[in-house]
Amino acid sequence: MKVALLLKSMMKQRLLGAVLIGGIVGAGNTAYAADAAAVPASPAILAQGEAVYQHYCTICHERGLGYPGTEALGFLYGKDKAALADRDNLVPDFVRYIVRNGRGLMPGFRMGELNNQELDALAAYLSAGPHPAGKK
Amino acid sequence: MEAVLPPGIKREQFAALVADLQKVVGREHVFTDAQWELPAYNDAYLTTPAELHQPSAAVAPANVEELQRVLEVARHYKAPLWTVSTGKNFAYGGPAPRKAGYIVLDLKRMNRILEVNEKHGYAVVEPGVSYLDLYRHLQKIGSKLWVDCAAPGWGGVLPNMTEHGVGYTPYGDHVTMQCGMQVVMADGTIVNTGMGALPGSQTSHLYKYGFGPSVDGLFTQSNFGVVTQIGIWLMPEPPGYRPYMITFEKESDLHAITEVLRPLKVNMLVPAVAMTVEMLWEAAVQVTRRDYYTGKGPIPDSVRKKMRSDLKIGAWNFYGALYGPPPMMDNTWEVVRDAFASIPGAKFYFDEDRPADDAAWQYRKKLGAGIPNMTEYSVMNWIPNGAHIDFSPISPVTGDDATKQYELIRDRCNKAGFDYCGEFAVGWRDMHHIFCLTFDRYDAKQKARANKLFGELVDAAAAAGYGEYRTHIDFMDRIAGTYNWNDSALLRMHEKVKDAVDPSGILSPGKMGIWPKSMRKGRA
Repeated sequence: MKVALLLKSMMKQRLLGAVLIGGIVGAGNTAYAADAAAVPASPAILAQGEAVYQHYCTICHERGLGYPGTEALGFLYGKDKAALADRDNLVPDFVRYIVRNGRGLMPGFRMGELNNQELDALAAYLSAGPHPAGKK
Repeated sequence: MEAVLPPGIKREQFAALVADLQKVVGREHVFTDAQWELPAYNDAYLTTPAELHQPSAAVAPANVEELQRVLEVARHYKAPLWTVSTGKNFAYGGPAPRKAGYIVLDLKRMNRILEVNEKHGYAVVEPGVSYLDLYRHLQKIGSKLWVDCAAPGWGGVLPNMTEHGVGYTPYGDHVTMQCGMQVVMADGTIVNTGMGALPGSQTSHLYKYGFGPSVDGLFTQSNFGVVTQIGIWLMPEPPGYRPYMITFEKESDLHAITEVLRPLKVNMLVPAVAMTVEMLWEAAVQVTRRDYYTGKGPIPDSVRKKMRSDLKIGAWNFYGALYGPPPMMDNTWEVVRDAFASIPGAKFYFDEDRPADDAAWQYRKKLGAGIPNMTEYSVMNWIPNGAHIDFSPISPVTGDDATKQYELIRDRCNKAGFDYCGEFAVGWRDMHHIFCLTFDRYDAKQKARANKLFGELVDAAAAAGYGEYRTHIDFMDRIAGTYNWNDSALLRMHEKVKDAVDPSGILSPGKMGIWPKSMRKGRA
């Protein structure tokens, strides 16, 4: 599914707020601008993002059997795009939004467990996908 | 979501309170933005409006010293804090506070593994350490100690214990395996319980009871203090591990299974927290409802039969494991097998007998060896946008009680249009009957039905003499109200303790129905 279609679909489910579509995510102390046209992330950021991915995400989103996130996304996008590392259509804003707000069976991740800097790195890493198995 | 204020605190005071918290932990660890920072501090699986549990802020101290200063700020403003650790207590409220406006005290940053004692078999952990964290750490250092984890591996070692959670190895009763505790009281005093009260103690995590009253239990499922460390006993890797599964053909076999199991449990021939699992739980982690049925209401028996056949599971499925040297396992298995073989239709499986793509078997096998995973969350994939709250009454280990509880829940569940999905976690002399009430988190009508059903179950169970061991934040008062023997003497005692140790009423008001004096209704 194209990202635009996906966003539209989620709007219907009232998952995405106007803040995301407006291009600014967050306010107050930790506000930062969404970066749909961001420059490519540095190797260091991507490495950090991969570490965050491995630490937090793989237990639900790894390839294979027994991963609830992979199973859930398989219903939506098909088995070949079920694992996050196989996705080629993720963008940073989308990743950030889902991580903070959750979706379906996935609850959001709190600021106290995953800060915005770590989340940015994760968003950069996943948006640089796909990441074939066995390759950095 | 609109921003909210703590109860009784005006906007100007709140701004000053937030500024004071920022001075303690840093601006980057105080969260107040209702749009971006706070949604994840609510409960993804609520059956009630999210506004009822919207926090005003969250604060995440890094250590005990910062925590003490956070408590000082809270006392000054009389601001209610709601303590969470890993914050993954989903089905029971997750990180969401009991009432709107509370400030979530998020202890996730306190995530040190302070000690692993290979010789005596224990670890000392802070509140933010997940099962996965501890497991990875033990793997990294080459430890031969096992974790005993809850089914969702992202759960926390300390908070699961304080919530009276169970795991699946012989060390599965987590409260029993806790030894030594550090608590920060509402006035900031740090208390070491048990042997840890002795300066230079050599046995803080080896002997549970210390000298004088044993108080550790006062800090579980309570709001009397903030638990900042525990010792947790870890099982040494056994010489052998052989998990098994026994399937049973008939729904009515639950009675016989439970009767056969009781002597095996009390004599410790089934040493782990064993599981008697209804078929839908096993099916839901592998297939979806729409794969089999697109009609409304609970799935018909004919569909259940087809699923059992396809997935090679029984109407009930018993999971246990053998631990120890092979000759011991061989001998024990003979006793266990012969006992269950008395039930017509019982089929016995070891690892080599189950299909490689049997996700249910694979994750049960991991849990029996303390390997954290998240497979059980797939139960929610049974329906689109699945979420769940768990109804968890305790049952005696008898066939009559198991059947009575099962029918009590199943019949009301079916009437409300939901599928029964449940299991019995069998301890030494009790069973935790877990009914996983799954609903569409984006369907307001379904959520309202689930909420109504849950309330009916609380009342029906209590009328039959069954109480719950744990519950969602929305039902804490209702269930506390069922433990009302002798004019609610126990709850009154809890309230006296609460008023004595937390006179400002800042710690998790309403947790398990225990309210501070300033927020109590109808009782002095």
